[in-house]
Amino acid sequence: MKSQASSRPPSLRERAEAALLSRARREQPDVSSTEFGRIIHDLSVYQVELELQNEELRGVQNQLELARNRYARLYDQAPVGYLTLDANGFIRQSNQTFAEMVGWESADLAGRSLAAFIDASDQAVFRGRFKSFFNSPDGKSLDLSLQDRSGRRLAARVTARRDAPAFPWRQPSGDEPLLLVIVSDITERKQAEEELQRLSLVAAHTTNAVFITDAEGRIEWVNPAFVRASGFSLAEVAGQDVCAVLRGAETDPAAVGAIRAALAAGQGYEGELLSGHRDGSSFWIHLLLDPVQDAGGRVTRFIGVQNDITARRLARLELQEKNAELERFIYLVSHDLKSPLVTIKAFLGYLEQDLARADTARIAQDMAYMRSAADRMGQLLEELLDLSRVGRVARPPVRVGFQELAEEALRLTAGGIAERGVNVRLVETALTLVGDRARLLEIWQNLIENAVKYMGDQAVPDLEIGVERRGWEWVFYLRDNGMGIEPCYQEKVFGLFEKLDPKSEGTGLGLALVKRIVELYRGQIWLESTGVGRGTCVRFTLPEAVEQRSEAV
Amino acid sequence: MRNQPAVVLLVEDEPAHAEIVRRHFAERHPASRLRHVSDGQAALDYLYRRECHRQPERSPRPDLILLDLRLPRVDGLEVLKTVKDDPDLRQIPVVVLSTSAAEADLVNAYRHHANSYLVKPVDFAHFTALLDALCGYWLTFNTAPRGA
Repeated sequence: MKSQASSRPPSLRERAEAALLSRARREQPDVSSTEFGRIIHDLSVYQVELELQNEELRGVQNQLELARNRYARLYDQAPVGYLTLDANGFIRQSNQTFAEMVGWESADLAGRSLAAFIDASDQAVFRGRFKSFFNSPDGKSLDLSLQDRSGRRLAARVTARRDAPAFPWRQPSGDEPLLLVIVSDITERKQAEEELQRLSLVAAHTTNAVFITDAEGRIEWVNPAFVRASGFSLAEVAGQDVCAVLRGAETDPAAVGAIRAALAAGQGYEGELLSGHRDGSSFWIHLLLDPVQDAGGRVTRFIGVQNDITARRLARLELQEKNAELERFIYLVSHDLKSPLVTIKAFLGYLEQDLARADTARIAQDMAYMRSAADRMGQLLEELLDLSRVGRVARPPVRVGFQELAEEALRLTAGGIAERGVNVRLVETALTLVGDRARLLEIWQNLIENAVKYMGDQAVPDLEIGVERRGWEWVFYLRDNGMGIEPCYQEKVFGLFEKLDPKSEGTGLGLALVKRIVELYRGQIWLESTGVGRGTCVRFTLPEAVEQRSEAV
Repeated sequence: MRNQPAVVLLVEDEPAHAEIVRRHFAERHPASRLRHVSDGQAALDYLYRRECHRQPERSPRPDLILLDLRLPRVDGLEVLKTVKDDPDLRQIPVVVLSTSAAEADLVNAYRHHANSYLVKPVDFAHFTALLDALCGYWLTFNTAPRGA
């Protein structure tokens, strides 16, 4: 190799002449001129033959060179990185693609350790596994994080096979074992995998119920939240029509129709519907249904996300109710406060006239009207203030026995009871309440006052106060034999300012106040009366005031 | 102008307000006969001659109804509806006299064919002027069919 590098090899002609000279020494043939001419001719033919042969060889050489270049390009520009590594992990050779991965010139990589391009976090893994990888690389792969010169990381999958020498007789390093390594950039694939993992985590762990259907709306998969919400397991709903699964006994058929239409049209759907639970109960859901399309725009699946909005809906209804009540309240307050004002101003006008005429009888009358209107206004304002405080001004809850409360309420209303001669019976029950004592007291006080007021012309007025167990809850009651109330008014009496008897005293806020307090303790209040003259029974519950412990009694 | 004294039925639950109207009629229109009932049910009993209103002499058919809206038992709107749905009663002019100036009340009253809607003024002078105008218009100038 060294001699070739220093001087040109002897030409073919020189080599041929030398061979001829050595041969001529051995045989010197005697040739005639005729023979000489023939020999010249033969030699000329040989010369042409040789020239032709030479030309052919040059062509073959050119083709080989082209092929070699093509393979070199293939090697260098392959879509994966190629490396030849020695047993110590040093790079012997690398292609352009790998050089670009790590941001180096391919020529500068030879002699460097592959470890130099591996991210610090993966160094230990690489060093620990390289030896066994080198010795038997078949079927193994190393996932490593590489770092290029600018610090950018890329995820690489490294696979390899042992170098089988193509030309063993030419291998310069004898039989030193080498490793042919393929380095693939899997950064994007890895990111996609991680993304997918994250997404499946979201679907599996979100509190929203998620389902996936095929293009026809048959369920393929549901997440655990769906199972929790609907009560159906994946096995029970897999392959089922999603509309049939969502539909409950109380579901609006129009909503189901809309979903079906969206599925058929391959379109999305968003709406609220009353869905059915496996146990037959119903719950409100907000449903978002989206078609998934393939590259050709064909709908292949639907993804549904639903959440339970029962509580939100209830809150909304409650809010609407409260708003309506507030509106009614403002309207009634303005009306009921204006009314005494009209009275006061009118009789003030009359008073002026009557004073001028010195009409003493009328003056007294005028003033009586004005006083009563002013009193009414004062009372109204006070009660309104009290009503507005229910639930807003919270006193610390205390324990108080039902017996004690009822007895105190009876003491406070003793005047009216005695005056009307009501015979009161308190049914003893050892039930304890926990709450705002003054508020709880107001319930019985107002209801007793009310019962006494509406005894009508009952000759032997009776009032029974007690509490009884109905199913799992305690129901309080006040039963009288007074004038009773027509069924159509039984709801109305709890409204603000509702008075059924114009001649009765009061502002019409008493029962409204009672209702507010009962609702404060998540209870309900209702009337039971078969009609006028048949007495009234007021019943109410106070779930959040009844002490649980006392229920055992 | 009429020969017979006009009969006015006042449906008003607030005693003081009834007194204001009563005094006004007594002073300015002593010839007219004001009848007062204090809730919607009583108004219907009067108009249909039921309960204590059976005698025509004591409960004559009114020429004008002055109707408050917020009434116990049967409310004013219900009375208005009943009157205007009844072919025999619907010719009687019904003037709503209420403290409410709420749009919903106005709309409801006119929807049920109230002949007029008056808001009780807070100011006494205005109240007096309103009652004067009311009586002048409905009892003096307005001409109603005979026997209506």
